[in-house]
Amino acid sequence: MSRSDVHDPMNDRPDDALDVAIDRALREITAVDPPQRMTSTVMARIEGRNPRRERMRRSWPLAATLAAAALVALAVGVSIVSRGRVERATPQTAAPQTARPGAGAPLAPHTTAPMIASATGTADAAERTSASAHVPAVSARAHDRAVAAAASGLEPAIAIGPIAAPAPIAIDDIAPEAAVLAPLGIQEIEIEPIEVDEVVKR
Amino acid sequence: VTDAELVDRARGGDAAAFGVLVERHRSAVYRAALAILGSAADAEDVAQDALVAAYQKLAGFRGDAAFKTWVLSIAWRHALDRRRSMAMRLRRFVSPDPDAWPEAAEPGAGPDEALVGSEFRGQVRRLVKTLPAKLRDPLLLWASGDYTYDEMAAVLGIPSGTVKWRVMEARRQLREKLLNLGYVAK
Repeated sequence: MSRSDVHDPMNDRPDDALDVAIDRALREITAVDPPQRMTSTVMARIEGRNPRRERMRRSWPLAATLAAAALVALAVGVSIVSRGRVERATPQTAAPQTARPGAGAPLAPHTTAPMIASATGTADAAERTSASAHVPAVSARAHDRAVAAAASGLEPAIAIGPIAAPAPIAIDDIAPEAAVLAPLGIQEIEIEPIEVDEVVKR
Repeated sequence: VTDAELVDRARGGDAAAFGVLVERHRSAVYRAALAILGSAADAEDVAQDALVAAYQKLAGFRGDAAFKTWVLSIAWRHALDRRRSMAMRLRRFVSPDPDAWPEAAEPGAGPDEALVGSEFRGQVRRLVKTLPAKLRDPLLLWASGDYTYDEMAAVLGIPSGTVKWRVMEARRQLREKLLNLGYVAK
């Protein structure tokens, strides 16, 4: 059947050059032939052979090899990344617990109760004390008392820590306090666990 | 050998006879699928599925319509299902098919003519896509020249007169759009 047989009979306007060009373009757009393999593929499927499945079956050793290689590469990558993390983490935990801004947040070791926190001040404390000052882990209440005692003019300030064991505090939680302690002339806070009897004797 | 004879032989177990039918109608089936889907790869898949389905349903073919119309109807339904499928919509949205609407060769055209023709075809192709499906589908079926109005009516499930009107309306809209783009009717 030619195209002219199905040409629009309802169009009473004679075709002009644009109509002809449109029809030709449409014909060229739609006149696409299917791939030659279509008949053989269809017949193979009808006869129970699935060419796709056969191709997959033939290519499975290659696919398995590639998958294994990808798995090995993934395992190596994970190993490298985890080793790198361990290496980065080790110096932090091995070094003294120094308050550093933005540093990780290792937990302070548990301190035994009761505790005494003494705050000592020096002349150049303000210069030496900074955000990176050496501030050991200390209970929050003992720390507050030391600050209060220093502010009230007691020198050296002595504060009796809480009887209950303090909850562990991350260094980062204390680090900002270094900026508070510096103007007060407190260079560092030392914590020494003692027995209650010793306090009484003093 | 007529289609009816080949169908009878295929029903009797002669797969080769069905192979002749496939070879005879594969272009029409493929172009119908391409008209709906606009993607060469999808059209090939659907055409294959439709032809295999036709073989499996051959026992149910009563012969009321021509074999070509019957197999085209199957392909049309398959293609519509594919077009409606969410996967195809997503794929179109994410990455347009590079094989969509493969270029047909333009015989006997010089380089300049080919360039102008190619540009014009590109415009027509783009504008055809903007037509609503109910106008675009009959227009592309009609343009392929593979089908009569009665065949298109049977495949589309609408009266033949409606098919004619839709084809005419699609051509009219296409012409108007091209005139708006500055193409002139000499």
